[in-house]
Amino acid sequence: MVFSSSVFMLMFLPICLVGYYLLKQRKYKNAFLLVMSLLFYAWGEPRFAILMVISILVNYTLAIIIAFKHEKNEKPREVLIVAIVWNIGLLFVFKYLSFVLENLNKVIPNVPIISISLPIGISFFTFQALSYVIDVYRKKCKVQTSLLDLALYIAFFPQLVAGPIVMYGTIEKQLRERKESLEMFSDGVKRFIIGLVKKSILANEFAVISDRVFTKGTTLSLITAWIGIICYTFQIYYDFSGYSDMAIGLGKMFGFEFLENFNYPYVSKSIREYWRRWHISLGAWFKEYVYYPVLTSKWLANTNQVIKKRFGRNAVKKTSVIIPLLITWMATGIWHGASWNYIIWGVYYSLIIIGENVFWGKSLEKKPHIVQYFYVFTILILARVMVKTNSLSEFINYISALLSIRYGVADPLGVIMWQSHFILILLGAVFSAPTVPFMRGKIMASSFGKSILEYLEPLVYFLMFICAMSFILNGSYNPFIYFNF
Amino acid sequence: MKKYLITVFFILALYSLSIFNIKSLTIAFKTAYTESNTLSEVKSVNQGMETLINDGLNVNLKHCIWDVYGIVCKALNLKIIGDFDIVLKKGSYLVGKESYTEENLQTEPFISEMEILSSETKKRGIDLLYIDIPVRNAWYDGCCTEVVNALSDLGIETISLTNIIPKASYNDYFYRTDGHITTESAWKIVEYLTKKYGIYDEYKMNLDNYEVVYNSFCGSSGRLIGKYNVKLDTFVRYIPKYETWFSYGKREYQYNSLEGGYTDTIMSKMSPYDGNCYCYYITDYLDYGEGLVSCDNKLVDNDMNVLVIGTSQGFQVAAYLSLFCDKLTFLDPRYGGVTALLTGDYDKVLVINGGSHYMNAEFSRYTYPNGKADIISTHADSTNSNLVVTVKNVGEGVWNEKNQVRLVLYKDGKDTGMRYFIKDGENIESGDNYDFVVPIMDFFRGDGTYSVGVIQEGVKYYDNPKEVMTLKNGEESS
Repeated sequence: MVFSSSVFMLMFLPICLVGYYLLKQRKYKNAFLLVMSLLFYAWGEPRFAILMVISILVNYTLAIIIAFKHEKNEKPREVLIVAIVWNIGLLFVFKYLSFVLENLNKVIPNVPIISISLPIGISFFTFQALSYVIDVYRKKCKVQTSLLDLALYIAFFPQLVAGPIVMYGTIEKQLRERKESLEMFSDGVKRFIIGLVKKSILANEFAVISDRVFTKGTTLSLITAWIGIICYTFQIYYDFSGYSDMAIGLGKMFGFEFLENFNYPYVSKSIREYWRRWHISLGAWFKEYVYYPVLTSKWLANTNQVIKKRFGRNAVKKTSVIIPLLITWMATGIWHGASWNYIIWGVYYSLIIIGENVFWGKSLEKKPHIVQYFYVFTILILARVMVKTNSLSEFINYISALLSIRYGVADPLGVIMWQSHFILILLGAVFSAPTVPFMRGKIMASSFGKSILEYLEPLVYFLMFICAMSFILNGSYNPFIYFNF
Repeated sequence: MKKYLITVFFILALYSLSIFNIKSLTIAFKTAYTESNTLSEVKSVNQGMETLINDGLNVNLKHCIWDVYGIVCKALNLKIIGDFDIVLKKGSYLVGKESYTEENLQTEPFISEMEILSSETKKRGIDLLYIDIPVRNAWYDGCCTEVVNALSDLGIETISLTNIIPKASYNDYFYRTDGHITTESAWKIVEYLTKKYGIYDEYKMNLDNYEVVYNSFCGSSGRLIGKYNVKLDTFVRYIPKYETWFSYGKREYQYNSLEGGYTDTIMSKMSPYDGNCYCYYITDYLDYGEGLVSCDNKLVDNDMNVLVIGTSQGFQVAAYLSLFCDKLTFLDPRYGGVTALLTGDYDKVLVINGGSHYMNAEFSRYTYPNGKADIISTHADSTNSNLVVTVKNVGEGVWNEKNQVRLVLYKDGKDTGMRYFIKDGENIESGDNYDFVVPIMDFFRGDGTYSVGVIQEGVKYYDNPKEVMTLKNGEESS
């Protein structure tokens, strides 16, 4: 089930809200949310709901054992390893095994190729579960003795399919002690509507263009190629951030505060900044559970010792940054998808981030903003083409289409796409910057503006909701891009 | 309180939409889940639920949705609507995605099916005519030309709408907001056919003898972007002022044909005279979706029996042509899996084609060349006033309703149009018997000799019908 669908909007959400607010006690509310979340998940793939339940039970048990060992002043290191193996193993089997076997088969023909369906959201809920167990191990949070509450944390439907990845510590208290309020509900509604518009109107319309361009083949004119990649760039931002907005909004409707996941990434002046603004929860997860552990590991310390002996102190300064970044970004790339595209994408970003950290970051900061924006834009475009094309030759063809007029400046497809979507592209550019908060701030600065906005804002949100619903109920193009996660 | 207004609006809007459509949501849910028995079926059912809900929404709501959607698209200046469902060009519309894709549409099995049809019509000495309706999509012309040429090579008489109505551009044949031919185009085809078949009637061709009803029309393309985003068409309907009377048969009327005038039979599903622009007037004719209907014009006695095989492009043509023919049968192969090889009764067969989906029409499936039946016995059911006819499958093939093997009632050797069906889910293998149930009153349809036989609908009458009774002066004489 997806948020921007008739089933969700006309059936699931109304029932969920009514049921939740009719129940009085917290434990019944949580139980109800859990049941609805499992139903939400099972809607798309009933059998994998069972898998998720098993995963919840395993993680619950392992965390209890870790806490028990802590009480006895024992080191539950082996239990932690089991938890990591279980969660990463689950992810590996369902997401990566087919890819690995396929590639091994090219080298060793006897290796069988098997095709395994990917449970939607597995990348998110395994990471959430793992973060919980690790935090219990680190004693950053208390073990959750209520299976119901833990299950709700892992399976809660707003963030199940496309994040944000909620770390247990940020939600621990809210499971039992959250207080729903009309104000919070209102904020949730506004956020949800913004997300709905982003997804059902902006992202989906950009998807119409980008999907058509990228399936057109190799004979792209200059304009068509640029329209395609610009639309894809906007599609992926509005789809992903729209989903996050809806998730955060829905969370608020049920009394939960989730952390922000996007912060206008397209106004970044460096790639490091970009990744602090894009999919913030993923970056935070990898920083917390991969980067820092590697950075503070004995293994890295020993490696640095060796490097120091051989190459000197200056080299160690660099490798102590390079190695953790490389590992973190390789892992990030692999997390995004089981394909060579994403592995190369991970290497690509790791090299750029390493470069900014070690080599050119400081000089980049001194450059004019236009140069910084152009730099980020170029890197992003290359990365987008990398994931959207299916092979190296397609990648090269697309990049050359962006840079040459081999197939002409414009073709009928490109012309009609531009005529159709130029306003949308303009709006996409405007709203991908913090234009609305800026304008809102200016208006709210005056009392007249404030009073006008008080009346105008609800009307605007209402109209936005109606417009978004018209797109959803009209059955317009609504691609689902999270099948890789 | 003002800051909570948005919550109030949201809750009102959300629950209004749900409550307003609770009936359709319930129906969608029930329809979907009665068909699913396993987890994998549940998954595919869930995926189809979205379509069921969107299709089943309250009609007035749907119209509002179309309007709002269209207004937003207009505000955003979108020319590409949906996933290239339509592309707005100044002054006209392109329907479908074909302009911007490189798909190759298949002309088979249509040409093969037409070849079989042609061979059967030749065997029976029946004239076959193929009328090609060009599609507005410029790219598609190539496909239709290929079909026309292939049919001509097979010796099948073909004519294009462009020859019947020579006009400058395609848009004159079609609606702007819909891919179908206009009523005026259909009327011109009927004029051409009546002259060709020798059943031209000047009185009936005179539109002064018709009530001409005009309605604003936003067709299937137009409603994708709403009435505020298009220039509306005008849909014209010709309602005969003169007397008409038909015996009208379709599957629902298992035991009795529907008897009535033109607007009670041929146009029984007519949209209101003052309908809104979203009424889909195209489907007002011949119980659109039924698949097979027969029209026996009781006030015409020219013995002209025409079989029209067509998609929705042919409905208006068939409906108006029925005013001139003694009998007209309309078959739409897209619905009900009905196949169409000929019975011996037709004088003319007309195939009206237009659209890519029609290329997959199957004319000659479920054919058992050695299909045979033996009527074993007939006896009255002691508990009710039914006649039980026991039939044995002595030929090849399985008899079931899917294959449309049925019992047919003859009167004086002619098909009355009455059918008796094999129960859903039942399969009568070769060598097995089946008891058909016939209400005894069906035999009392005037004096004559009544017999029963087996038919594979639209394909073949099986031999050896059995006489059941003869009525004379309203009484049974054997």
